[in-house]
Amino acid sequence: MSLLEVEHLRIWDGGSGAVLVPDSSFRLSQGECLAIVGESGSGKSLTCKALMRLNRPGIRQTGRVALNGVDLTGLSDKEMRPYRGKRMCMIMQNGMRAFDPSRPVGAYLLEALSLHGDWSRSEMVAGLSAAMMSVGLSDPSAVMGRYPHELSGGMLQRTMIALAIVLEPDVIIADEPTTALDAVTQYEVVEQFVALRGRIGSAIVFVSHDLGVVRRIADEVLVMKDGVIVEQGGTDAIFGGASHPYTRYLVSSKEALRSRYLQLMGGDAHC
Amino acid sequence: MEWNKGESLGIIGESGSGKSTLGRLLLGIEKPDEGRVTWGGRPITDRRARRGTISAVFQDYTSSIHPFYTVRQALLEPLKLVGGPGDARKLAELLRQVGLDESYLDKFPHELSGGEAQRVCIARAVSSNPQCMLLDEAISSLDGSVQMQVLELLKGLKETYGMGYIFITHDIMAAAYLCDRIMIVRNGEIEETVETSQLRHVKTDYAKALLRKVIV
Amino acid sequence: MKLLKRLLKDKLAAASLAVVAATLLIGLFAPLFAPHPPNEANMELRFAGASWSYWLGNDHLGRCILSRLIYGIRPSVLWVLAALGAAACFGAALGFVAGYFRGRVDAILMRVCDVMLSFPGYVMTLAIVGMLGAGLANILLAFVVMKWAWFARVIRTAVMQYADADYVKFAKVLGMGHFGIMRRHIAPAALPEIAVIASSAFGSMILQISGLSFLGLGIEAPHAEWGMMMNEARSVMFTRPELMLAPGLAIIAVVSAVNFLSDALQKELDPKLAVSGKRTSVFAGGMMRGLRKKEAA
Repeated sequence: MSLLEVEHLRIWDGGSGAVLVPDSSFRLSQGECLAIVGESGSGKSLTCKALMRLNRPGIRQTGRVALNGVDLTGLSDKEMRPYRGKRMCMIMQNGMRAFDPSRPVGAYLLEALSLHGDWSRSEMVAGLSAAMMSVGLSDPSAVMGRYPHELSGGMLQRTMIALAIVLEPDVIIADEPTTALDAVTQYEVVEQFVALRGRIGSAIVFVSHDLGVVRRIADEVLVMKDGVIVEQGGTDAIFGGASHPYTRYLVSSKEALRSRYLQLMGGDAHC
Repeated sequence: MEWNKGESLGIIGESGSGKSTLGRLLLGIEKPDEGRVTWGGRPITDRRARRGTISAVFQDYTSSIHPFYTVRQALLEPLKLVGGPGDARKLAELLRQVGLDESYLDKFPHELSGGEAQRVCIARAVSSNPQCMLLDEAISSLDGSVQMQVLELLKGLKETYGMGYIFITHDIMAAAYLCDRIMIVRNGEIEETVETSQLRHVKTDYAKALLRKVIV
Repeated sequence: MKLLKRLLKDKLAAASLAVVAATLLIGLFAPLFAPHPPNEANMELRFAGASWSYWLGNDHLGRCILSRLIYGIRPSVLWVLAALGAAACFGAALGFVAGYFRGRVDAILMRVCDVMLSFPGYVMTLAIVGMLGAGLANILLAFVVMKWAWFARVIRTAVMQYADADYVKFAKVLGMGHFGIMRRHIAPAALPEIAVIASSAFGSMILQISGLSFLGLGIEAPHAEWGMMMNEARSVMFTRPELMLAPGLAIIAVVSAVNFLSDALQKELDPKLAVSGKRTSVFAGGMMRGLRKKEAA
């Protein structure tokens, strides 16, 4: 049995009736990293949020989403809460909007931890500090005392990753975590994700439209277009020789850019 | 720093490096505290001297065109200011150059996709026949394949019109594709300037580290 | 026009619009609508009840209440509208300059506004009227003096948001002059918001002028004004309640209609209902949410 099983997930807009994701099915094994790629409007964020039932109230879904055999779609909101954060943790695209702007980041992190475990305050702070040091935030207490708008996008992403390290969830869902960052910070955050895989055994669902990042981090790739999964497969298979024309289009679209850069750098580029 | 006619200059930097501020200073919409920015010898902050010389395309295509304006009105705005022909033929020609057609003329900005909106912004920037176009993270908000299409469009315009660019971005691969010369900016200062063909021979440690951190 | 059509779909808004429009029209053309001259005193008709020729009866000087009500629209509503317009224009002009140019100009103007706003409104109006003397012109002057700072501040916030937009940056790059940009780009976007602010202030200003007249600091007798009519009816409040009810209900009706209309206008400009999400997301700044607070009388 896979860690996470999604069967016949269907998402539609309750108000207009428009079907956003007609029928999606995929699996995630323990410790695996599954990337969902697609362009804007392909339904990847909707799918992500549907796994944790976090879409806005007008969006409806049916289908089976099973974590370790337990069907999450059948749970009430109250039963769902222990799952969110502790069993399934989400890392969002825009750090500035993910945190409550009126409180320092530390207060939010401690509250999240206290909801999911019985640690004392000093244990929580120690655990968080260790995690934050390991993701490259060299002054954890200063970072925890700052407000979200005082931290850069990269630092906020690292903070969310640190929280995931402490919570040790079964599944980490990362919704376009690098899209809003500049190139250098993207590289650093992706390295953090790669390191994360080595540290805790969580499975990762990584949503992105950037194929370079996906190539670096994913084991399996799901390609979505207009809400439909057009292809699934291992990373090497998808990038080496995909069968669906849309996948081939996506993979080849930035080929000219890559090959020019590699030519310029003469094979010295990090690959 | 200098920019020469017909040149394609890339300005690379991390967020917070000051490249956007530099862009605004180069456009003349902000005044420097010290030093001068001149175009052909005349200060660029002089509005009248600036007309027809440099144009811009910005990152946020949702707010680059006035929401109340149709595409037609948006394209006519620079033409009216510079005194060019504002007839339907000219507008259609502008749209064709960027890969769109006349059916777009009566649409509103919120009805366009990201790629289409940026193309309209490029058409608008081209309409006043500038010698230089400054692109401030103009493709960063677009999807991957659309980014490529816009880069190809810019390359095409360069070849057809000898259009010069100042391409401000954090994406080194895109800059390497489009530009002849690359300038690396750090904390508000120019770290290094290098010809694109010589990119692998950068000298400073920061530049070398930057190039290592590219996800290919 | 699209806005008007959408506004009319809401029944309450349509009714309010009708009430306000009717009031303005009747006030403008008062001589045509009023059955009797408002200041014509007939002592034998003192406190007469409603009759066929005097629909609402007569007051303590035998004057026709209905006619006074109609002529009272002029100072109570129309002149207030004029004062509102003057304050809004003056405040908007300064708000535009402060919000667009920022820097020192903004700082100086806002300090001036701070000084003006630190005076408690009603008290200042009373003080100004006390100094200059009672009378319609002085009251309206007091209103404009008190209100322009509030308009300037609120409009400055709106202008600051729009002045940051990329399309304004592009116009600057093109070499468009400052006033051209303000006229063509910022004013059309700010106008709906100015309309909402102005309409929310309208109701309270009507109440203020009536209040001042009630206190005896307003219009001089014998001119008709709703607040003053209520004051004159105070002595016979329990024996002849209709003398107080008529102007009182008129004030309630018009102020309520103005407030409902202002609410409807705010709702219409709300991103969820307007043309498209993306377009109005440019406008949906904290400004619109901040406008939810309406001025209390």
